[in-house]
Amino acid sequence: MFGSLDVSTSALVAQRIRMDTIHGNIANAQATQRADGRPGPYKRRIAVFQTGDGAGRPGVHVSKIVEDPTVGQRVYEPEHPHAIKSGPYQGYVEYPNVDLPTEMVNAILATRAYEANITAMEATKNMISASLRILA
Amino acid sequence: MLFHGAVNSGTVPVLEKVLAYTHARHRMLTENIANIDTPGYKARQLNVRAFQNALKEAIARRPSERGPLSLRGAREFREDASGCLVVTPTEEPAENVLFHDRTNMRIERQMAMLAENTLMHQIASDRLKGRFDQLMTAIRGTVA
Repeated sequence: MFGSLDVSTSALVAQRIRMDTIHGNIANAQATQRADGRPGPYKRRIAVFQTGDGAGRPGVHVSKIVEDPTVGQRVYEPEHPHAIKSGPYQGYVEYPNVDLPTEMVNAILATRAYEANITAMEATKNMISASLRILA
Repeated sequence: MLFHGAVNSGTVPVLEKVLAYTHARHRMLTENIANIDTPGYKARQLNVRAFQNALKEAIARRPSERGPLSLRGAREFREDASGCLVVTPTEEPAENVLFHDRTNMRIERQMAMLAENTLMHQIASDRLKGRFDQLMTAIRGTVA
């Protein structure tokens, strides 16, 4: 019975990690310099879900966080310090491939999934206390 | 011996089986809900009607066998050596035609089954408590 709580908890953790990646994507929607200092657009991150809690028990976990390699929108801004210096896109700045509506929809989905798991946990708690009342 | 008879007759073993089954099914449903966003996850299910038929059959069989209540004749659940219920859920066969992530989850259905299963558990535990309260009344020999 207590195992059901662990299953729901693993899902809460996974959905929160997914929410964190979505927040990171939205925050970096205009970032044209990477974390290591190189110029280059931020790449949208995706949390990959996998069945099982990662330690052999049932549940769900984020197995890895991958970068979306698609090319973002290029905007002509020759004065920008991160503008492309040569080639066919000279003078253009490549912006991150983050699409705000997509991120917002994913954020709503993650919230709803989190709520569904909270409801499942409430049901588990009710069942545990009902079982305990048999003794009292 | 008298006490053994009192707690192993009538509804107590039946309710015990129902509680064990609802626990196992609840575990399966929480796993389904936890994996709602996992690509490729197939929802799992337990056939409640098969369990209820097996229970009905076990209750009918019991007076002639004079042993503990034992469920048989189903692929989804069995009893191990100590009489504990072990369930093996099957994959829900329904295919999802709407999404392309190879899942077949319908969250409404899962939440409805969760609510229904919780109620089934509450009924069984309520009845079990009522039964034990009756026994307590009998032991005390006074009403309240």
